[in-house]
Amino acid sequence: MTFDTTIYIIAVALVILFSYLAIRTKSILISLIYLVGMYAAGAWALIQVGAWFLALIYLFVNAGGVLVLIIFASMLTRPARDIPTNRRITFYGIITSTLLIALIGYYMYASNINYVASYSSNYYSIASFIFSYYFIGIIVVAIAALSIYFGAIYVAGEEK
Amino acid sequence: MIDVLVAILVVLPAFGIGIFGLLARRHFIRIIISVEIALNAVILTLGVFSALNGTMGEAIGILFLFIIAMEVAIGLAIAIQMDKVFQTVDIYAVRKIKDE
Repeated sequence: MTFDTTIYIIAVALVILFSYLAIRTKSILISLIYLVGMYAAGAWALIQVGAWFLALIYLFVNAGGVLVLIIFASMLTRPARDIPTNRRITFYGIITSTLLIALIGYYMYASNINYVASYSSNYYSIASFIFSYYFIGIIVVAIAALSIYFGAIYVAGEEK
Repeated sequence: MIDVLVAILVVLPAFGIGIFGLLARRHFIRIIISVEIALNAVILTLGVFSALNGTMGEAIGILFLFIIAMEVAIGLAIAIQMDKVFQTVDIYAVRKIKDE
């Protein structure tokens, strides 16, 4: 295992820790603080892989958009007690997620991708890739984003 | 230099935590946070794929980030509307109200 991989594992371990804490905490606002930690650790992991540009966009979108949206939504809704579901459903949740992890992990392991790679973001090649191969994709995403944001405004503003 | 298989396998527990939160929580905003955690693990995997396949993983990751932002926007709009109509964001309480 290389030194870079070890640092990456530490970053992902922080992501896992913060996600667990974000799920377990009772208060939504404290859970948001853990979410910030998770985003920071995630960006660190992406930088460690060499995907600088993705890490940058990841922080912009999540810290600037998603977190603010969640804060506003939690301010606009009544505080509800987040009681965990009963033990049976929690058990099914644990079983389902474990099976899913085992299945994906098995197929990843069986695919024999066992080599060491090095990468560093190249902004020019990302831009040319998006605006050539994925041009239709980005147009579709842009139209979907526009319609979904209008839809969200309509749904949130509708009188009961 | 990064070991690709190890890097992909270590992300899997984060995805599992997201799925667990999705199944075992009842506060609607917390469910959206759980989906966000699961999709965050997918972004990390796409970052590793960029080490494997060059720019492609990163380009798909950027498109995927915008899709995550859309999902959160529509989910939180539904949460606000749910709060207006049912006076709660607890999905079990909403189901109970709808059954009555």
